[in-house]
Amino acid sequence: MSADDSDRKIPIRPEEDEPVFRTPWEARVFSIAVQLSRRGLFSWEDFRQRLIAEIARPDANEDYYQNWLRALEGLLDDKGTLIAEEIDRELAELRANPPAPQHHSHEPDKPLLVFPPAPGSGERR
Amino acid sequence: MATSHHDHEHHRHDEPESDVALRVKALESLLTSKGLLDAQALDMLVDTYEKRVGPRNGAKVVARAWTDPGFKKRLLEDATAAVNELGFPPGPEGINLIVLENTPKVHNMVVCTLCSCYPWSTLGLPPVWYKSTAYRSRAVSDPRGVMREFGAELADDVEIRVWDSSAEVRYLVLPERPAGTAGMSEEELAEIVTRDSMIGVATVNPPKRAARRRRAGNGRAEHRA
Repeated sequence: MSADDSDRKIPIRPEEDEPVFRTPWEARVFSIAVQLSRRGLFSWEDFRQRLIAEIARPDANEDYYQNWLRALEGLLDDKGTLIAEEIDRELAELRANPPAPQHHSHEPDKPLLVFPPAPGSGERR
Repeated sequence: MATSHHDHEHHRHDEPESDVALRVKALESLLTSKGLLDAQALDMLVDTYEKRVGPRNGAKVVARAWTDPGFKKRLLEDATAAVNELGFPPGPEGINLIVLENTPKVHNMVVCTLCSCYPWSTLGLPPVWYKSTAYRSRAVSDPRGVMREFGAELADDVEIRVWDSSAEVRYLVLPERPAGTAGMSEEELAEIVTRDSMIGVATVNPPKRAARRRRAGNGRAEHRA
């Protein structure tokens, strides 16, 4: 019998009519992992073990697809498919030259990306 | 294109939404330039899981099992093969599906204690709560309390079996067919089967309209040959 009553206090909070993906990036990162696995870059079990490790990290957050993204990046880095520095470099590039909206955007009423103002912008010293 | 923002309210995480979105973009663009990704196939995958695969598939399986004893027998013996008969797209790999039958004395509930394993081909992708720490811990410590939150109260003499999904096995619960549904067609039955009942956190309720019709018709809708 579990002596830990604290578990019992966390509500489950099911949501009505929850979307499959909350944002376009969730859909993207989900399908990237599935496609790479189907193409044989890694086994689904390899990925699953990574995901389990990300979820179990003491500093993990509850955002499922952020854990998914970290699992995927870690796995690709380990396999040498895509090293972390490459992603950082590409990210810097994208920040400098934001991509044009893609024609395959899944939600026509929503922007592909939203760039909020940097903290403290507009009052630059 | 209009500049409406995503709804940020439900996000509790540490990285701003736009940073993560951009990071995924970077990943996709690098993998594509290395020839490892096919953007069109990605779109198709998203479309499959957003529109073509979902709990309606599982509901069809359950309704078929309720109305076709031969199918039910095959389903309980080899669910992977039986579900293939219905032609749903496969999950990530050759993972075995096992169907767990609820009875008046045994109720089954499914969880993935470590991550989020789930029967994609019959239920689609899991809801957020299924992946939450709250559910993953409470399903194994307080299953009756979990069910109460989903509006289902089990009698004290019902045994609850909690199943942990794994790399090799995914589970689908075959809920009990509710009383008062004898006159319903397979299609009508599929409509009353909920996702939550196939995870085992709820039971299937008889439809209100059918219940009313039955009362009005003095039980004539029931076919008891």
